[in-house]
Amino acid sequence: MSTIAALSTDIIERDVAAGERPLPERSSWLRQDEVNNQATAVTFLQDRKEWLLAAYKKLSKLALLEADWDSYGAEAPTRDSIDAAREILRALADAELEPTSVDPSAEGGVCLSFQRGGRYGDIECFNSGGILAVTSTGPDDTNVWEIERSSVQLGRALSRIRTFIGW
Amino acid sequence: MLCLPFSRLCRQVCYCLCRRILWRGRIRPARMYRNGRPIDSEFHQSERLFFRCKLDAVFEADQLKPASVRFPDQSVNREKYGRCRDVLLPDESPKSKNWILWGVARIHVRDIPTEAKSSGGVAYQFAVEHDPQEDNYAHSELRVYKNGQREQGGKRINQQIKKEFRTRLALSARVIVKPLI
Repeated sequence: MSTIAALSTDIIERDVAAGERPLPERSSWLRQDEVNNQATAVTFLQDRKEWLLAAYKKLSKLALLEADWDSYGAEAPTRDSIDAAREILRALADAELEPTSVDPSAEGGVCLSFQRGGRYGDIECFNSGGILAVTSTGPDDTNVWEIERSSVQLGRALSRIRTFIGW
Repeated sequence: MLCLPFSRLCRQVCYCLCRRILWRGRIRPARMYRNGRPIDSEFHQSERLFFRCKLDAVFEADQLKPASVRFPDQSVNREKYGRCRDVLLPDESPKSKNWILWGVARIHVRDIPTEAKSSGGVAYQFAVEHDPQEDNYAHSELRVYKNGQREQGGKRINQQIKKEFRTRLALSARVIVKPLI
């Protein structure tokens, strides 16, 4: 409980600090992201979803990436794509479906991926606002579909990935 | 298995020695420079193409993550005119960084999908094309053509087609030099 209490205090202090002095645009949303991430993390820490805390921390790190992070000219993830990824992580936690990794996308955005044996699936949130999912067992068996930002569509996509991966 | 800090040190020392002794102070070996050589459009199906990646871009078992693949215009170095570790060497531009601790992923030319059709019936063709640079003769690019016209930047390419291409390519790729950062 001490960790949760410390996090909560930290969040409150940061919230107050964020309200007291205006920050430049990007710094502002990064700070808010950190607060949102930790607030949700506190809730889920109580449910012992430690992977979710790690995923939120990774999202916070992704928010600090700069353009050309891959040395081939990739865009940094925007606030929109990070917000979308956070929403999906919440849905994943509800569905008890843990992603294998949370990564920046070379196409600009955030990608939540799932891998087990020879089976691969992911949900990619683009800076443009679009969300695409894929399942694949290899180069000759790849299925891509679009997801709209609604809980129904997201639920269907998660169910499809879960069935495909075999979790 | 060497521990990570020791592996990093070894790789950096090797690079420094190559630079000082073999390459006579230049940041790249002489064989990498173009020196007036022409474009070579012939790619054998078994030819390997290399590009660099970080530790974050790799699953266990040396599998590349599809999120780390860019498309179109992903830069690669072709095996015919270089070695896999060439993609880790810095170039002479002021923006260039030292990628010596990054890893190297490889794909074969035969792994590149040749064409795809969107649900709206638009035909896309994919190809690897030799695109030599003055200080990197082996440089090539994975390019896309839409109804016969080259598309650059990817804004006008169907998102699902792009994602399918990136996933197929990544799942065909293997990491052959382990990233150390």
